[in-house]
Amino acid sequence: MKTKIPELRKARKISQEELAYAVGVTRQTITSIEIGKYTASLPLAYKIAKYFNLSIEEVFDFSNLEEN
Amino acid sequence: MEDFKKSIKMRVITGSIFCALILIPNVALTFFVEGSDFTELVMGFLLAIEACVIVLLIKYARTLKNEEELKNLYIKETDERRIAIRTKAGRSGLSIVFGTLIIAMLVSGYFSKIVFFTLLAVVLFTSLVMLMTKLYYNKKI
Repeated sequence: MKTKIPELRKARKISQEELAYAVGVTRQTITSIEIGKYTASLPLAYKIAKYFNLSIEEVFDFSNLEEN
Repeated sequence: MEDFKKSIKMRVITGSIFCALILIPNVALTFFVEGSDFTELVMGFLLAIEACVIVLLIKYARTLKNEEELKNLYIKETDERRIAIRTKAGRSGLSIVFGTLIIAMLVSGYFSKIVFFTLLAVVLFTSLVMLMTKLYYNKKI
């Protein structure tokens, strides 16, 4: 699943470590989500979106799910 | 976080009890059993387990004193990716072990009855445990 987390982080000058700590996961989890190796659970997606003051759809791209 | 703190405290208590319990067979082996290579091997094994538990206990005791470290440990233990990895690794590991056991059982059948029936018992027990856990989580989730 594609995500806008790297762009959002860079725009706000936030490191993966800081985001990870704020949402209660490890840095490796954020890395895996950013490169699309791991799909975040709904509660984690919600926490990440809330951290950036955005909706889940604005952070995560669900277009490939809609195609299925 | 308070619940996690309680669970760490509980781990320290159970770990300490475990260490004390391990000392009993070690003392018994030292003073009441005639020393042999095998008893020394068992004692070494017990001491190694005890050392590992003590290292863990020290780590947990230190963590309990530091809120930052406690949060880091909480994140590490509840991280959903790590949980997913553990679940997947456990599942595939069990499948490999189960498959290997069946192959070993079939091959051993040509050479030794005792080994065949021992492995059969292990396979049946593993199947039973797998079935029971599946039923449990089917009801739980």
